[in-house]
Amino acid sequence: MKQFIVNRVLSGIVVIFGISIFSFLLIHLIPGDPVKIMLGINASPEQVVKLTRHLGLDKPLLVQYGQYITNVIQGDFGTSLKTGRPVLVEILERFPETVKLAVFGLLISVVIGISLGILAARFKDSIIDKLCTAFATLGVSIPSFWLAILLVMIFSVQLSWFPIANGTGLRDLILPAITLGVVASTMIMRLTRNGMIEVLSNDYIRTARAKGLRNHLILFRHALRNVLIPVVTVIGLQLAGLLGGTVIIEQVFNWPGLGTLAVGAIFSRDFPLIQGTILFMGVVYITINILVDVLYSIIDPRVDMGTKGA
Amino acid sequence: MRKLETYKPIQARVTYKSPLKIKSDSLQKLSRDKRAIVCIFFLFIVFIIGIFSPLLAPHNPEELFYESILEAPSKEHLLGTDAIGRDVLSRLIYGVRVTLTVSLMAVTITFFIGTLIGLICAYVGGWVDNVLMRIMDILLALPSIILALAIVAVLGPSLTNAMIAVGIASIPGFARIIRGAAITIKSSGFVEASRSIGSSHSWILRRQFLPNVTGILLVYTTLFIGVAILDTAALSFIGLGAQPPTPEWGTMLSEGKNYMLDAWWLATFPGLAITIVVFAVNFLGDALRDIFDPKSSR
Amino acid sequence: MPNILVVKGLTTQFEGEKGPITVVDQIDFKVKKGEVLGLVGESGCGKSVTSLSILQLLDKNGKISGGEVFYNNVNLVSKSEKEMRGIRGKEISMIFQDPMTSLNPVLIIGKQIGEVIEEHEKVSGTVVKQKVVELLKLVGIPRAEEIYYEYPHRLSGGMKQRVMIAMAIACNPAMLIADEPTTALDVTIQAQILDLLRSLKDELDMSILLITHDLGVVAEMCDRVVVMYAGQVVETTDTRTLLRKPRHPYTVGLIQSTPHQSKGERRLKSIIGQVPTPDQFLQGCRFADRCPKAMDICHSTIPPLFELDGQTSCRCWLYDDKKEEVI
Repeated sequence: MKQFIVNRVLSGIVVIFGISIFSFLLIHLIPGDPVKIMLGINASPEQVVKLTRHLGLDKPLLVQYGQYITNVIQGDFGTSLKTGRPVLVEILERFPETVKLAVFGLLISVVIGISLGILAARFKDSIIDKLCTAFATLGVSIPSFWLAILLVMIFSVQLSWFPIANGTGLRDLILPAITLGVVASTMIMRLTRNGMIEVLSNDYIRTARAKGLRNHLILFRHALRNVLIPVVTVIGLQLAGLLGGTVIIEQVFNWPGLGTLAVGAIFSRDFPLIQGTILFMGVVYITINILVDVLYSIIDPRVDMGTKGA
Repeated sequence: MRKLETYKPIQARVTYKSPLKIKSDSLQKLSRDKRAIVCIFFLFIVFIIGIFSPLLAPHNPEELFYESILEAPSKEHLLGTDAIGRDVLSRLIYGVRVTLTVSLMAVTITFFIGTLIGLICAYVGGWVDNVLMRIMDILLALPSIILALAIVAVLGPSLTNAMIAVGIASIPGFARIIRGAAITIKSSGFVEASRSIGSSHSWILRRQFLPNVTGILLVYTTLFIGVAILDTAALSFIGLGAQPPTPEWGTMLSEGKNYMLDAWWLATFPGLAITIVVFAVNFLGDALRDIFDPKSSR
Repeated sequence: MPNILVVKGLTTQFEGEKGPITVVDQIDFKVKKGEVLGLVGESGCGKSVTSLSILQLLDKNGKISGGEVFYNNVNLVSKSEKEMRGIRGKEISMIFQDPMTSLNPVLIIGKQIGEVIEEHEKVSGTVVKQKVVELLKLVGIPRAEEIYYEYPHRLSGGMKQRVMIAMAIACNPAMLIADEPTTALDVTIQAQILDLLRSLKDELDMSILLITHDLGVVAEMCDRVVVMYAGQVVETTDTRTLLRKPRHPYTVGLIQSTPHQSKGERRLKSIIGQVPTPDQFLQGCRFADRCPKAMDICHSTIPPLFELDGQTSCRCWLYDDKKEEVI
């Protein structure tokens, strides 16, 4: 178990290094002089020279990266060009809001996804199953931001059940979370359905029936547990994906999270902030992946703790 | 002489296993799949609308009707007008053109670079494979929309840049799928057999690899078109893609969003258009997957 | 001895692409109280489907389309699903061929045994646990208290089958159906499991329907034997007679293809060909194409079960007019 976690963390660190190179290179990939682009057309030559120095862009690339990564490791993601505040402070201020959204979205997607998945599997090939499958295809086809707008138009504008995009309270949270949840639920639904159908054909389900157990015990105690093991992996990946999905949804609801921060930074060409957000999201994403892998090895008793062999 | 003779049956097997037969089988299956036919037919119509949008649109998409600003759907303007009096239906029809061009171009980028990387990885293997796949892993570690955002950040907001960004952002996923499929083929024996009879690398690549990954390429290209449409619309929606007054569906939605209190049609129809087209693409993709890649179905 | 289980004309069909396929065709047999009845035949001849039909555990595409199954003179076929649940695990239990896959991998052993008791008896949790540990000891599992908390993958095949047996006897059923209980196990373990079954049968006063393809197991365990071929009963008799004087050419073939120690080394004969699948059944006797003694009539008409004496019946034209000494 320990060995497995160590390996997983090590490979995660490698990937994070890769992302740091990617986010570092962003500024160098800009066609033309990045500093001029950051400062806009009206910048004076002195300003350009000053910012170039400040960002260390006059040094060799490797030296720059060395400096960059040293700073990052020490928690210094640079300074926002627009606000002059440390990038990490800006990010950490917004991050909890994004997490709030993603976690609630995930909860909703798990509830919808698993229940519809069970329903579809239980009534395999029936009209219910077909509706669920159609829902799943619809879920991956509908633009999340349009779903968000529709929900707002129906529930906030027409029915006035929820406030229109203002604060970050619980009532403000519901519509964006539903949007995220519906979109993310389709994957969970498909996986639960197919997993359930497969598991229900297993010998141990027949054993459970031979014991005279009631259907709900067979379904929930014997089948669902086995289905959930792979589903948990996907749920974890969904959480990471949801963090990406919030970027768009936050725009619709003016949600003060990482997404609005990143988009704002792109508009104002605040590159240290852009780099910082992307690196930060990468780190979060990979951390979640590692946690999911570890969780997986814990909940599946077949994954042997010592060797991780079958 | 003798050796040559013993190799003959292998060669025969190579031709026997060649994908031509599989392909005609699949086409037959495809022609019998009702949902696939419906989707293809529908997408064909969408395509036609895209080509002939100037003929089909009732108005110029940029013509301003000053008397009818924010007018609800009526006989004159079937889907209403927007905040500066443009005909929504006409913009929607022109939007087909923009959406199709952009998403197809984006997928073309994904397709060529992704296939190239995937095939190289699978075929060359060794450290090349390792290095390329590590890079893909790193890029895959970011959600594709974030990756696209980063690229747009570098290139600057515009429709072309959004297209490039979306195309590039899908490459890692695509390359991975192609590599996986190609490795399965590589290890399936007949590539080895043809290499043992001295076929050249490029011959193997062209005649053995490509035809055999055709099905998978078809499936995932289709599915990635859906992703491309959604992602470019998303980028345009947050203002990093198409810029006004381009009649792009995502941009139209973001304009419509500001008027959702009093002009529901502005934020309804462009979204509906995206959803229907992407739905058809995905449905077709699923049908194709059932036919060409049944193992990973659903 | 009274009959505990009487199967009459049981017919089971599965949905096929071209209409229903009859897998079990008008089966008749009886299990007497306290008896071990063997159900013998090659794989694919309908033994397992018969056993699943008795408890109505068939998959969704399978259905009992005719006949009756009397348990203590009550017809199970006419019972509702809910009533059947009260019988499964409580009155009639079942153990399966492959203990590796028949236990749920993500539930601890104790829970899997305990839930049978919880389902059928109104007892408290601590009593259940106590009972489960007793059961584990009864089926010969060492360190029962520890094993209680183990997951199945930590146990050996033999141990798992013991757990399956513990599960099956948890509610003191009157009848146990054992579907190839030793097939998936090592030879040395097989004997232990058979010993265990025999001693439990006496201890708990059970009747056993033992499904097997292994005549060695039959010789060791069974009082009487029903031989099945291609979904039909071809011979019914007591074990002694079956082994000493098999009637049906199929039974003869089965015995000749079984290694036998006391007769010394000789070449085993195998029955040529395979059991036909239900869609390939011949028009006449279903064994005719593999039968060394097939006659013209065999290819045209299905023989009925000829009653030879009180104990023995055989589905073969050789025994028409009770001509005994043909073989």
